[in-house]
Amino acid sequence: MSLAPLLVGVPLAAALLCAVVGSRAAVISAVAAGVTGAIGVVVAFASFALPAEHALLGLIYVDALSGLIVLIIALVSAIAALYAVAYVRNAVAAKEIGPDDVRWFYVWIQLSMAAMFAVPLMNNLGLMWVAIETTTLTTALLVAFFRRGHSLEAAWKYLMLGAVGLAFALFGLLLTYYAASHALGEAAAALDWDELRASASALDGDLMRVAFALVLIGFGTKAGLAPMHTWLPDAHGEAPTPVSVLLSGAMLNCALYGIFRFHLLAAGALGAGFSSDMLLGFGALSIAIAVPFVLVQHDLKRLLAYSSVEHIGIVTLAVGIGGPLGLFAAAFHMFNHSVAKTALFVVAGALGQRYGTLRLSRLRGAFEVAPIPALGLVLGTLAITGAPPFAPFASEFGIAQAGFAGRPAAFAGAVVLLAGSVLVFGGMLFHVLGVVLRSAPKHVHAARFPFAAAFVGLPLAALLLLGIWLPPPLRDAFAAAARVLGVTP
Amino acid sequence: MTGAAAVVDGLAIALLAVALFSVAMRGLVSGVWLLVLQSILLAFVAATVAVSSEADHMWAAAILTLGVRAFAVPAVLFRVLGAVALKRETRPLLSTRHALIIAVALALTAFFAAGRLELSDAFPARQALPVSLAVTFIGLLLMATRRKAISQLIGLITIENGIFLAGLIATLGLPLFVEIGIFFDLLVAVGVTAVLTLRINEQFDTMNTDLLRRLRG
Repeated sequence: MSLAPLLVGVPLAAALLCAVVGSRAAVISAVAAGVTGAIGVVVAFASFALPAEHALLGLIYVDALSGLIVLIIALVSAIAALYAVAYVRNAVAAKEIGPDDVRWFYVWIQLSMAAMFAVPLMNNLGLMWVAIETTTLTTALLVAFFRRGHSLEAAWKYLMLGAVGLAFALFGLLLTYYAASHALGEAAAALDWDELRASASALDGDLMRVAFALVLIGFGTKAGLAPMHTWLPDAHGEAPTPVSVLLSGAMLNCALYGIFRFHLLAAGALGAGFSSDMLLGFGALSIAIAVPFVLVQHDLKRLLAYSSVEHIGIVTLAVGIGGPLGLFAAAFHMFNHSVAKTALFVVAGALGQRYGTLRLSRLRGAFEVAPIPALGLVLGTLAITGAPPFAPFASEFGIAQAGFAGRPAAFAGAVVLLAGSVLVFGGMLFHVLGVVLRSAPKHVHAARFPFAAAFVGLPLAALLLLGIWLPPPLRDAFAAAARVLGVTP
Repeated sequence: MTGAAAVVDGLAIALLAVALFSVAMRGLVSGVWLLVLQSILLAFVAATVAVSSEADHMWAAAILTLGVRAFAVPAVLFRVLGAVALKRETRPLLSTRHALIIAVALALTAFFAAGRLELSDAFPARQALPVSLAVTFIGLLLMATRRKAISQLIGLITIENGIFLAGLIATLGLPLFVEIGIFFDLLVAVGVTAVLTLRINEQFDTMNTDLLRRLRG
């Protein structure tokens, strides 16, 4: 009996309960996220150790790649939901959210979590598409939750670009179905992942080439790959901070997951070359485009958002490089980025509510105003920019190593990765040191964050530990996910 | 079989004509009515395919199309239009004449591009595939050149109609439960965009997405 269906069921039930009960929505949401998080960790580690398993009459399929995504969503969404309790209370006190709207915030948060968990669990690629589209819809309303002009603009842009992207992906899905129904016959199961993967080599190569390109553009829009990333900084910057955590830490990975599944199909039909090179190209482009925007950035959360574009690019690049080392490092880096970005957005939210702004020029003297978030900001920045001994250093190092040992395109990708990382390291550290070191303004808002040290400290401590010593269960986890991602050329 | 194919081709050409009309017309209410017309045509396509190919789940697709695309979605759009008292698309990026010229050029490109594809379709309607491509392009054009939030939404649904037509004729639709999921998503998407449109209206007293150009860098 698999626990996987509960990952969607518990958040759905919690959303319903929040809508009905209302007054206790914060507690319900926090407890539900904690329970779902624990179940997610159990499901994930079971998937790393055991062969892929089915549940709910074949509707659900969990292998190690699904497990990796489930693990990331579980950790990120638990922290986001717990952190949301204090954040929303402060926002209500600051009259940014009306007291009557509070319950709906938690309803949409829980619905978003249900949709995100559904993405890696669906066996049917069509239903996976539906789940990814649903994450857009639920999070778009959350991005607009403050109802300010800017957040409405960001949500509109996100919704429109996301919908057009998903329409492209749907076209790619149709072509895949067309190819599959010719190869496998008119079986009703013609979009089920396990069947498709097993017979990928029989799919029509020309069709799969077009299908993969459409899916890469479509889901790539959602994942924030350049040049389709333009919605991302707006949405991450304008959303309430717990939502930014969910978007950056969890949702981007869901879209990447969709791309990787189609990459495996395309590689099966065409050989690994075509789709790997596409991933390499889009990954390198995302890194290159993120750099100038990081350097000239004037807003803390947009700075973090462009850093997400960079790191989604790095993971995509790593899968494009491929090979056991490259794929292991890709899985490791995906995990590292999500954990680091969670801590950083929590910090950004804590500082933003105290200063009443996120403009980098007006965030000053953070060490005096809020020592713990300030320390978290510095350490988190060091971690995410790949400074040793934090874990992202290890994973980026692995990616670069795999690239330099690989084919010429992979070599070029590794060069882009190294150059981009150095520039982003300098740029982000410059901005962040400005925030913590300059003299503090006279007046700041009172904003209370109980447990802030835990939300920031635990992820950063974990990254420090993983950078020095990778515990065998996690090593096996990343290795198992890398095996699923492996394509035979 | 060939008779049915001819019917589908005819319906597809009619769909293209309707899409071109929505480029030519700037009234928002007539824009939504044109969407209703598109959806009814699509439902007829699904029904024709259901009759001729004996694919029973296509009946479900036809009924869903009528219920969701031709009824529920336009109903939401009309309510939004009623709430905001807005009549016409003012100041689109392109004049109607230029937009029409580009739309016709896009349609010709679609016919040219699809003519080069050699697909052994499940259903031998020769015109339907290029039409689906053309309708998708026209939807993109609408989204890119119109400024009102509702017009952009109409463009988005036009894109989806084009893709839906391609799905109907090229693969006899997706598996039924996937199709139901996609219909459900469409409905929620329209609901969510409607909510956002109303809030934009509240905030700016206009539905002009032009004012939404302040986030940069």
